[in-house]
Amino acid sequence: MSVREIRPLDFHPQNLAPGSCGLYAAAGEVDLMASLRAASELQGRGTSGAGVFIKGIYPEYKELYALHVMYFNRDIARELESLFTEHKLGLHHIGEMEAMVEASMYRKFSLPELRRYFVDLPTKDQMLRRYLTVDPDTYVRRVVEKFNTTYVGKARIFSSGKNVGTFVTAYDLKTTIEAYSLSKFASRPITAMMTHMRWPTSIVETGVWYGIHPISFINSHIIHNGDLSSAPSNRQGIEAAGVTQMVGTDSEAILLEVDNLLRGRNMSYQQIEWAMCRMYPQEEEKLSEKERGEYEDIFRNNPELGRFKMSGPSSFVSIIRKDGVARVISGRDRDGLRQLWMGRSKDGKTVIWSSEEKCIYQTAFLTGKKYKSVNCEPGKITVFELNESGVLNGVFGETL
Amino acid sequence: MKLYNNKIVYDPPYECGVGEVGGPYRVTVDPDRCVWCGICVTSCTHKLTDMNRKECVFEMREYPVDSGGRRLTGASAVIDGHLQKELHIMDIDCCNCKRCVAMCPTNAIIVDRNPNHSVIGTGSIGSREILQNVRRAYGKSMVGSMSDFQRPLEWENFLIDASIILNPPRDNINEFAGRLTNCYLGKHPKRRLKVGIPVLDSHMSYGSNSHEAMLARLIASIKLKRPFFTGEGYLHPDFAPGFKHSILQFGTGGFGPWVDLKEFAGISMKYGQDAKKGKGGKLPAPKNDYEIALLRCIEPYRDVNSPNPQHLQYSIEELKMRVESLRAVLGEDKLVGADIYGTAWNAEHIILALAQAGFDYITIRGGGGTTGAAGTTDLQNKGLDILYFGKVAHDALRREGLREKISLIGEGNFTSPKAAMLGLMVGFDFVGTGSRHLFPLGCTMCLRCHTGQCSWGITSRRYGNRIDPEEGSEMIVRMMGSWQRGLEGLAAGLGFTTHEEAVGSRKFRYHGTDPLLYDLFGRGKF
Repeated sequence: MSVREIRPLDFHPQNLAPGSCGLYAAAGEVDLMASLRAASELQGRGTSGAGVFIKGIYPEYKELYALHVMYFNRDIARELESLFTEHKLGLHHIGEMEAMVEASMYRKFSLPELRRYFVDLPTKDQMLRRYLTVDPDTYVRRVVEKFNTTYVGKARIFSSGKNVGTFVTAYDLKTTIEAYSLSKFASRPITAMMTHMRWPTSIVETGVWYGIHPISFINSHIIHNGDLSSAPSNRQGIEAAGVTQMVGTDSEAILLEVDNLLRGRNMSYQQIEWAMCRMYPQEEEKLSEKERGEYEDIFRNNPELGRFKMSGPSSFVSIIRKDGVARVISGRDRDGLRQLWMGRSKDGKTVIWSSEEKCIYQTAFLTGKKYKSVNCEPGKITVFELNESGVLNGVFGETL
Repeated sequence: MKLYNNKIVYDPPYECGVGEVGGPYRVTVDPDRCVWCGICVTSCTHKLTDMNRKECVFEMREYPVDSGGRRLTGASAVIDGHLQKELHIMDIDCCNCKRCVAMCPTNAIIVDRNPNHSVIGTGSIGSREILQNVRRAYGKSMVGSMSDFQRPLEWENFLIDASIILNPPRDNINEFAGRLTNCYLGKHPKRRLKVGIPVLDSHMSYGSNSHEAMLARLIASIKLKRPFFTGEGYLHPDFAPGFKHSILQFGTGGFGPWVDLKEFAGISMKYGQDAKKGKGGKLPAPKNDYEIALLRCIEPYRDVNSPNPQHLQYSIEELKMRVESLRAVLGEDKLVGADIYGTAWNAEHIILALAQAGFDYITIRGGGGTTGAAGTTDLQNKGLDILYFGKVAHDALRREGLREKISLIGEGNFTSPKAAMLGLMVGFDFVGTGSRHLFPLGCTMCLRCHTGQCSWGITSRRYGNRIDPEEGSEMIVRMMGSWQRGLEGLAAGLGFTTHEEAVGSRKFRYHGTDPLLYDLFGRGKF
């Protein structure tokens, strides 16, 4: 009998098969730099392309919408900037245009022209005239949708919420942190952050313009790990629900689904779980008659919900604000094909989600807190409510 | 009794001259194998050339002979224990239905193509063109059934992205991956019909099918938990318990007593059928017997047309009113659908108009469809590929935001589970097959449906008792079960777990030579 040679495992990024994404999110009391350091442990999982979402970075402008805009080059920036600065989009620009990265970074890395604008709403009359709505979030969303679909390939608003910011590059996480000098936000009262590493797998040709996570519209943000076989169906479902898609990836469809179920349809968390994960036939049999009726009714009454199910490997963390309170909703595909680890500090003030458990150890080590962790149950969602001051409240699912 | 000096006799043709090149098929019986049982005689039902002939292709004649083999006639023709049998074969009427071959206990019969019939003409103008015109010259009927003009669809040239390594759900213990048993026909909450399989049985009239064939298909549909689509010819009162599983079709013929409408699961408005353009559907006189005439409220034993195109009810302006009035009569819980054929230029507008009018489903028929009886010219006028219409309909409805308000059914030569999966992936919620459901009952596509002489009893009411509805339905259920497993295997490989995920997913590519299909599904993103 021959003896098999056992080689030591080599975790160098070059020796790992590219194919999975790195996903890391933290909410509550967040130490930004420790979180970014822990998240960078996942860089080896995939290819380049990294993004960071941070909530609570613009406390001085928290009543204004912060638009992060990327232009293909400086000429296009010059051509299109007046849309923001001269109120042509229907939003009032407050203050000056701000460069998001230092000039030296353009020499060091190949970056699109990155600029930031703080904008306020016009009068209600103007809002009604332009997009037939007086709801501020809906109005800004329509503006962003219009801009992003009109100037495809030229410019894109990739972050548009209040007191939140998304930062993306086509490089790795370390370069993203360096290019945007994210360390300068460390002292801000940050209540949540999310990072994601890797290009999206469902469409690659649009690249940095559309693909990189976190995907962020107004108050809805997502990082998503996986490659859904149900992607065409999900996209058609969200389209049938009358929601405009700007990116076209499966991750965006998942974000819009959660957003639509939670805010558009006012569904309960249980119904959201049913719509996105469905139950196994034998689980259905165990339901009470009332519950089963309710379960079947949501699909019978809403034909497009049949297309909301996630099939194939998937895990996601999304942050969606509704009625002034942010909901952190995380979930995992029903077959358990993708991992999603969740850790909660012993004081209950911080919760971390990650593709791998090692990031939770790393965070615990760097912050000096004790954490308990669990691999999220497949086909189940977990919901935390997160108020403005960063207090977490577990409201649905396994919240530790 | 002893058989003595039996013979097989090939009868000469009735007449000679232009066009008399024999029938398209040649029947040969091996005298060494034949046991002179006469089953072939009772099996065969086809005679078109001479309706006065006593028997059909086969005829058994018996002569008393004496012990020396001499025929006895007159007063001496007393059978003394010796009999001579002659099997006469007149194969000009043979249509290759193979009933005799299947029934022959000794496998003595061979039916093959007659070279005298098929090997004439040139490469471009062959026997079909020549003989068709000769038939016209002789003043013969130009009504045919199904279609031998059918353009074969290139299903093998579609490449499905099966076996995606990363994607398929793999929890086979808890859930069979690719389950396609929970399908809904109709999208309105008040009238969503749960269907157990995404492959449906097509509309076929009572009258075009025999009582027993219809019953077998109806029972099979009930067993498979899917609606049964009737044709224009209403349904026999004997089927009343199955009305609630049936969707009644209404066409321009306006056939039927129109009673018990509320008993049906819904109603289909027939605005056209691809295989019956021009003059439309035809029920030939021999098939229009007293019972059929009574059921359709028409005069018996005359040709009946269901005219087409259907301007009477095809007015786009009035569609909405028509749907609403039907709902007012039938109730909110009944499905109302529209059956159309795939038109060359304005399919998209018609489909959108129907969707906006409030129909619950649209059945689209593409170029591969067949029919029981139609004029030869109509049969030649084949439409475009059904997958083209699937794409047109699905994309147009998506663009207008109507896709999740209406179901789409595609029909037209979906020959296999792979073809059916392509139909689903291109955008149809369901695919329909008609003739596929007749194969288990014995159909061999002999193209004689319109004569009412089907030897298998499928399209001939006279011989319907040759079908056992219970056994026939079981065979259809088993066949569809196999289709379901084939579909689910493909769905599992593609990573689908529900019916909705398959619909419109377009995970395939065409690599054949058809320019239209290549433009749609072979080039770039679709």
